[in-house]
Amino acid sequence: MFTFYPMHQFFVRIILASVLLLIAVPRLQAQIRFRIYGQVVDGVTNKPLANVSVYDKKQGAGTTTDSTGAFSMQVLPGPYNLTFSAVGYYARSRFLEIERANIRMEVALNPDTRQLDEVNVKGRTPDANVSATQMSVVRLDMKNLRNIPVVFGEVDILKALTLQPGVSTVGEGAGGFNVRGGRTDQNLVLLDGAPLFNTSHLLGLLSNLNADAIQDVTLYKGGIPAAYGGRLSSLLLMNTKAGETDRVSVNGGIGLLTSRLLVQGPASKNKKLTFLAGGRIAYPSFILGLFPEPTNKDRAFFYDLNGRLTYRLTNDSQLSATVYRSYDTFKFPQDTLYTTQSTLLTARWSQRLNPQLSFNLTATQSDYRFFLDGLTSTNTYRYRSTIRQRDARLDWLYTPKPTHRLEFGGSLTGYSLLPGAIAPTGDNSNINTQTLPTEQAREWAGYLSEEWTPFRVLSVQVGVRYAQFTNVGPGVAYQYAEGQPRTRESITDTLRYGNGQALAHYGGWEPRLTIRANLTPNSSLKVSYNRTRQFLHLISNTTAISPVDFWKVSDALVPPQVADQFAVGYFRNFNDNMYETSVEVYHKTLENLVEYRNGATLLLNPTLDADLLRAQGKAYGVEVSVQKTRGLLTGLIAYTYSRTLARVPSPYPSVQINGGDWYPSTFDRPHNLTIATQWKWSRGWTFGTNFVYTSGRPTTYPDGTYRLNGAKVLDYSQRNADRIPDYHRLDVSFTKDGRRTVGQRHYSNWSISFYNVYAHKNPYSIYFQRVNTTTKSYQLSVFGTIIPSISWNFTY
Amino acid sequence: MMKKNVFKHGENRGRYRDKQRFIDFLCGSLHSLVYLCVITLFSCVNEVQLPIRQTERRLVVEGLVTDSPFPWVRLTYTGYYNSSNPAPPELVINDALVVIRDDQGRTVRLVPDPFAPAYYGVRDSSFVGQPGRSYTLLITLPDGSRYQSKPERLNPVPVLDPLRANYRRGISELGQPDFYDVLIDTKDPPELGNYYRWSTLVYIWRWVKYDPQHNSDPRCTCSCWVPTVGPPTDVLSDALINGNRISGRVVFSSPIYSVGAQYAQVNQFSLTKAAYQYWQLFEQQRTRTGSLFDPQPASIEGNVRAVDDTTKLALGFFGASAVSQRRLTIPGDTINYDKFLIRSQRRFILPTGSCYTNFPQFLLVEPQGWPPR
Repeated sequence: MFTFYPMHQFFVRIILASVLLLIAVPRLQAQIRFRIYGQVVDGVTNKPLANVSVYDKKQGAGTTTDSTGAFSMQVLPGPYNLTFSAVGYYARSRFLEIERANIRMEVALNPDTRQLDEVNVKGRTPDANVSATQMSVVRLDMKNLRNIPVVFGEVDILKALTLQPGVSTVGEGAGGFNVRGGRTDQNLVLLDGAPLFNTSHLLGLLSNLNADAIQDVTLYKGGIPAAYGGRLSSLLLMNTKAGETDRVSVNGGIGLLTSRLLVQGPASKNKKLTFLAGGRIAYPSFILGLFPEPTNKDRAFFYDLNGRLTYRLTNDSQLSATVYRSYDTFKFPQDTLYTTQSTLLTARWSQRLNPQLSFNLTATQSDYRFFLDGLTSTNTYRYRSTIRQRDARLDWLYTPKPTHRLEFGGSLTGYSLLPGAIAPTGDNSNINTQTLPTEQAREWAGYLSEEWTPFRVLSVQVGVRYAQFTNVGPGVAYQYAEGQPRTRESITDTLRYGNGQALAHYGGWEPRLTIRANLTPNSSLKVSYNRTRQFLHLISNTTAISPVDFWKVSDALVPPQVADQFAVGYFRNFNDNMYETSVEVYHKTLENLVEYRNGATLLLNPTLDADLLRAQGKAYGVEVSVQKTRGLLTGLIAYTYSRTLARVPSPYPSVQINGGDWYPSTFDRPHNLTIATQWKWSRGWTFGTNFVYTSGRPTTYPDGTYRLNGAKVLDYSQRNADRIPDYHRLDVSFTKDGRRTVGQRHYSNWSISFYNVYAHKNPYSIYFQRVNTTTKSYQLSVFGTIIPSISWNFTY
Repeated sequence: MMKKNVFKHGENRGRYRDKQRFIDFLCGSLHSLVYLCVITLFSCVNEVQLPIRQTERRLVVEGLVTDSPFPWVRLTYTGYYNSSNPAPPELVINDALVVIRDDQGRTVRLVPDPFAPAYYGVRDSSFVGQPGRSYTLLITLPDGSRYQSKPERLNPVPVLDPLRANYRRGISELGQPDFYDVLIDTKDPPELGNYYRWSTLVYIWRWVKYDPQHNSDPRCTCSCWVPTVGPPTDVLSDALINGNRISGRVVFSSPIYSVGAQYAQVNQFSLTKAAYQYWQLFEQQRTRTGSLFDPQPASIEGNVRAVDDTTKLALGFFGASAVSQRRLTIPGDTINYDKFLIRSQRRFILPTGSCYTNFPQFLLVEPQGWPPR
């Protein structure tokens, strides 16, 4: 299936050898060390808690729990006062004396319901901002998401992320997000380990992730762990909740656009098997119906579903399976019907072999389909494009000593894409069947990563990943004449590849490095570098992603995109970690970005290669953030200055963009300010505000006029030479938590929010249109007014 | 604002009723989709004052060789155009040397048209394009700079079948009149790679101040036939319909402003792929709505560039087409005169002036050369 070159064999051997060595080494050691290990669970639900910090300040020993809530650390004999702390939970301390045996501990943390110590977003432990090796990481506190003001009252994970420094979008109502100057297709969005190719409902108005069903959200803007690859700019990790173990609980909610229901609990008497099932269903047609003809005839609908089964075989072993499905339709009667659907399936086996060594074996499948049905009587058709990705991966974690944390593993991936196909439906259609060849590709990757903490003040995480990608037949590759821009006419040869033959090979090393050095106990300097490679490209020539966009794998003429990012950060906490501050500077270069010739035909184009161009990108910026993490008033002030530029260095003037010079990307928004606060009032009320200010995005205004064909025509000679006006808005929300005590089981919450309080007509775009004989310019605002919303949520 | 968007949506639907324009259609519908799901909910459109910048002037070339006599070329510069003067003297190029050359070396010189500024033509009808030949445009501007087009092949075009017209009710709530949809039928050749452009001319009878049966001022020139042209960029690729009949394609929706005959003429042009792409891009930019689902705008550069500096591209396109023409007289006798007046509430009778003040071009008698009713 794969072609292993000597180089790769060498690499595989190195991995095997180092694995064997690492397993063997502890046995040779003669030091007297003991192990403290165990599990941390939620005190209410008994669910295992991941990312709990376990730390002894005095001895300087510490670790964090993994996804099964387990932790383990090797210590010298002596007294220990371990503190267990996690986002959204009361911290807990346990005193213990280690003399001559390993100690196993079970710790339960109680959720901090009344007083949310944290702001919406924060690192994993009170001092993680300074003490963790990672930098450029955002972790959302799911419990607090509901206190952030949102449009339509829909809690939205992705919209909450765009409040963070370094994360932006091209506009309100646009799908996807941009991280540090990356494109929307350069984010690896993993739900339970399976990639999500579409993250929006209603064309980006909402994200398709149900916040109720998701346990944790972690975004890596840089310093991406070596275990992950395949996208250039960011990694967004999300996991479905495991399901409560003590009893069946139901929660749900009703809002203006959707209603939600989530059921979870034990599915067996011994409580080893737990389940979670939840979904959202939308009724936007109700709102559409309020509008005049013909809008009120249009119909939209969407739903999403999350399901999970978790089986705890032993304390050290767990099986889980998840399913996710998202479905959207939009219909213009007698015209067209758009349908998108995503389906994810995952299965995972987590096993702890001994206190130092554990592994996760994961298999996933992600399937995304887009359909467009033409409904007019004489030309009915169905257009479709699909992508399916299957992954199998094995991840090992080995912690021989508190100072070493070794992760290694590998993955196999298969891709199958249908870039586009059209077929007539019904008997009277004039449309011919046309199907572009399916694209198939395979990828394997291996990685090794070590986090080494030689001293308390210094830690180094060094990793390397190797990915090998093969585009495999059957397939057709065109060869184009040299020395001229590629066009369909300049094809000199057509190469046909049989089943399993390789059309193109790509591969390469991806080094990852992060270094932390504490300057004082409350401040640290961190440096990171990472290289990433992307073999899968979203073909989209519009400013925002749209449902007709489709994916393409690298082939002989479309090499993988490559990015290198350097980042340096200074982190400092004040007042016993109540205030966290950070300054991060990054610089990123991107190669082989996909651009499009002017007037490119993207859909159903068998010679798409000829319409694609290769672009370079660079992005740099500085992100400053101040957070107050405890107290009745918490909040975040974040300011980012960043630039994102691109250029198309083609030797041929007819395909150059802006003469081959650097120009701002469409999501280049230099100034970015967010002020988000949550203020706890009495009786469970929280008052939340967001203020957002960003520079307008670049756009192309006409810079000349001429007459052609008897009409006045606008010339757009310089791409993105202009900017739409700046964007700013203020949102407020009032949320009422109906709980009176921490353990209360039946309660309901109210959430009232006002989006864009001062009704600023924020420009979504500026466009020029001929009205009779004159050309006028118009500003379009999407949410040009205050939008009140209300939602009610219950837990039973 | 709401009305505007709703109308836009309706307009898109009408325009894309013909699903053969599938690819255009996707873009077009996306506009609609955005309009719907985002804009009509809470949005608003405001006019803003943004003067259009004028960068360095560029050459604009327009021209066509067909298998009929009289090729023509039009040369202008980019600059400030307003509606009252479509050809400002400073932007018109009248003293260029313009030559068309075919792939056998045969040349013809085009000379300035004394009656139409910026236009160049030939004096006699001897030069006629031949299907299968390629044509190149050579221009020497008064300042000595030379421009040249890529060779453009004159492809044959299938014959148009007789035209048809269908009566269609307009949406009166939106102020629309009723329409005659002009339909064409033709047969795409079996081989792939045929590209089409249609241009439609309809003489529509217009009334000013009075309807003819109630004209109390016999001296007023108050009814005339006004030539009206369809969208200039109605193009089609056979990529999705290769070898099939192109049947019932609406090339023009002619508004019914009065009771009487209408005279329609449709030209079906063959295009090269380059010309097709040019007009596609032209249309795409013409119909930009400024949504995030618009493709990135760019200069619409065609096939003409400077000889000495190949990075200097002219705007516009020099084309070569074969033409098939058909004419149709739409009798208009199925409409009852009095009922029409009542139903239309005389909305389509222009309130003031005469034909002279309302229309730049018109005929006082029925156009000649059309088949009888």
